[in-house]
Amino acid sequence: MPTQKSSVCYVYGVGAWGLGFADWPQLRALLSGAAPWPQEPVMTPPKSEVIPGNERRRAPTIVKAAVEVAGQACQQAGMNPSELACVFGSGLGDTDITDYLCAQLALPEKQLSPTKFHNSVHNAPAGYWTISTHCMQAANSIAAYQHTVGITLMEAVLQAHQEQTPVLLCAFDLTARGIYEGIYETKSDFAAALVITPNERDQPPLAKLQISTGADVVALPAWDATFAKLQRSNPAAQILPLLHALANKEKNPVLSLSLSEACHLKVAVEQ
Amino acid sequence: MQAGRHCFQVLPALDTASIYSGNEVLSSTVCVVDYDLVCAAGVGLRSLRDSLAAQRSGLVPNRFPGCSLPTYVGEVSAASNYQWPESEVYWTSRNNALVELALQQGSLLDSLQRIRQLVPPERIGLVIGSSTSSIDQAEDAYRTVREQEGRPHDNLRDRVLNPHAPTIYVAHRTGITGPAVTLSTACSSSAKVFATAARWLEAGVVDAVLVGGSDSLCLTVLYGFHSLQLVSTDICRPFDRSRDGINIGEAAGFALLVRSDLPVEHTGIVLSGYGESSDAHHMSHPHPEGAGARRAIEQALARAKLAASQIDYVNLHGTASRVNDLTEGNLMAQLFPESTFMSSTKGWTGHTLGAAGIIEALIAIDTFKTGLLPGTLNLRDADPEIALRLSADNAQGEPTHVMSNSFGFGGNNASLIFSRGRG
Repeated sequence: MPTQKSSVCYVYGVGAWGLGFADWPQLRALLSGAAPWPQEPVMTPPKSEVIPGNERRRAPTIVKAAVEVAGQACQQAGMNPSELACVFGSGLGDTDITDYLCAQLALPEKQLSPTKFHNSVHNAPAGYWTISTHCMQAANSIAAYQHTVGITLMEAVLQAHQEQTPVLLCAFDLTARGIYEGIYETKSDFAAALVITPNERDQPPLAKLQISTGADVVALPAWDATFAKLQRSNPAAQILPLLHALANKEKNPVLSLSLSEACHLKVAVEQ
Repeated sequence: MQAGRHCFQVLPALDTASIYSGNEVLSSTVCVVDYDLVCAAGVGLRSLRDSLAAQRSGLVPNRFPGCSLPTYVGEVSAASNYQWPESEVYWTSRNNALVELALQQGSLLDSLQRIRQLVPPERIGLVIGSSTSSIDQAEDAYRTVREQEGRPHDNLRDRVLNPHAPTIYVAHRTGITGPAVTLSTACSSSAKVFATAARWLEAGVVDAVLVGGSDSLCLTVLYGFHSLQLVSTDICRPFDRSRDGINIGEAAGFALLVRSDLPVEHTGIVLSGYGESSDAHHMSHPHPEGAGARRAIEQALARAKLAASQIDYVNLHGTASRVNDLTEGNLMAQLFPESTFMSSTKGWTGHTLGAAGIIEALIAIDTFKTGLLPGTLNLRDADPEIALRLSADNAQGEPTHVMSNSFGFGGNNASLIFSRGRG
């Protein structure tokens, strides 16, 4: 039986958005301790300037959040979004729009807005992104509950490696709405993106990632309680340990991200 | 008919090398070990084969509870009647019932057991497509909350009211513990499962993958597609001059995939190519010239190292919406010779949305076994605007290479090619 082949990729861009940080430089400063966690963190609405004005007004917040971080990561990488395959992952999906749909359907009239209905597909962020950036590449849209970040990263790295294409990956989950408030602990918004490539480009990468799968979990060092809490409660924020390693330029950390209850993705970071 | 074909604007030929610059072909062959399904036209493949041969549609006038829309639906009555054992009540949802019914068909669970004897459960992956997931349970919860005047619902289950629910249920049901993902790209969801599974197998992160898809009738899709004016009041008529929309259906299906080096008996059917692309055009309208669809189809052909003329049967997306069939029909007429037999099977099943990819891939590969090429059921009067020669009648053949197309909201396209006798 063939053994697992190593899959390597290079990180060229990062994007981030959430409560207390509007972009990756701001989150990086918080994660590295260069800036203190604000006493009263502010939520800056996602700019998502990539989406044309008319469409932006109709776009749900989750779409704007995903597009915002995707745009940041592409800009830092200096790459044209239309050349990147993309993998969008969200553990909960858009509970705000599900809340709207189900509340409407509980009324006798059962009237749905056609725009809200087509915005309700899990791949709405991928759709708005590819439409706004004229990207005709493969676009994927993933749900894997608490394992969404691990699965999204694995899918993106394997795609980059096997299809020899740069890949944009995005993970995002927003505060649970409606009945979902009683199901999920997610009480704040978080989105992050990475641009990865299968080979080194002319300029040096931010980091090299080598992934492998297995059952063993790598223990994480204890870290800031605010981020630990965010990481526990928001499926997309499972990416924080990786962003923490990037922000602190840790030499050769090895992280693990869950892929299922029993299986983990080991991510060896070189930078 | 032939003249109509030439009226359609000819697109410049795409340079396939620029689309696909990766490995020439999959270096590991992906083989199909077993497959089965449930849909309105049959609970299990055997029953579906009978319906296909007899040209018996599964579509019925809509009597879905809580929905008064005048339309036809592809309802699986066995899902409505499914009784969950007491120990499994937690998993109750229409979508999970479809998943459970599909897993029980034919030899799927036995085949999975054979794989389990060779491969530990953490080396088996799950890649399942769904767009509805168990949203019927959320609809039900909101109705209950409203009827109880705001009292909180007492049956909120995080692993069921969840976009990942069908995959979580399959992991629970089968004991598979490897990497597990739900792909949710609207109506291409469970076509893309084959591409992801091929990548996982090729990378060696798993030794087998259970791919599948499930989507269920629910008020969200019935009233949602109705709000977009895409639902027909009649039985759906793909590619017909008078077609006026889709019939929504429900279904679930699975295929067990391995790399050819795994010493296990398989069907001899292999995944020979796949293509994935985006329209970059509109959230709910396809690109007018099918540019994204064309890209996915050409990528699949390039990966399979096949010319269009070598494809013997194509299962079209063919939803019976005005615009999909016009765009897809004219694109396919441009790309394929008249000798390629094509059909939409949605006249049997309805549009099963996120399950359409797997159901139609399985209908396509089952032609290898049965030699029965399904026609385009309900087609009476071919649309003269569509330059594709289709017939309602079934045909007989011995296909070697078959294709299945799936296109979804958000402009998300996937095309698959399967071949027999390879691997």
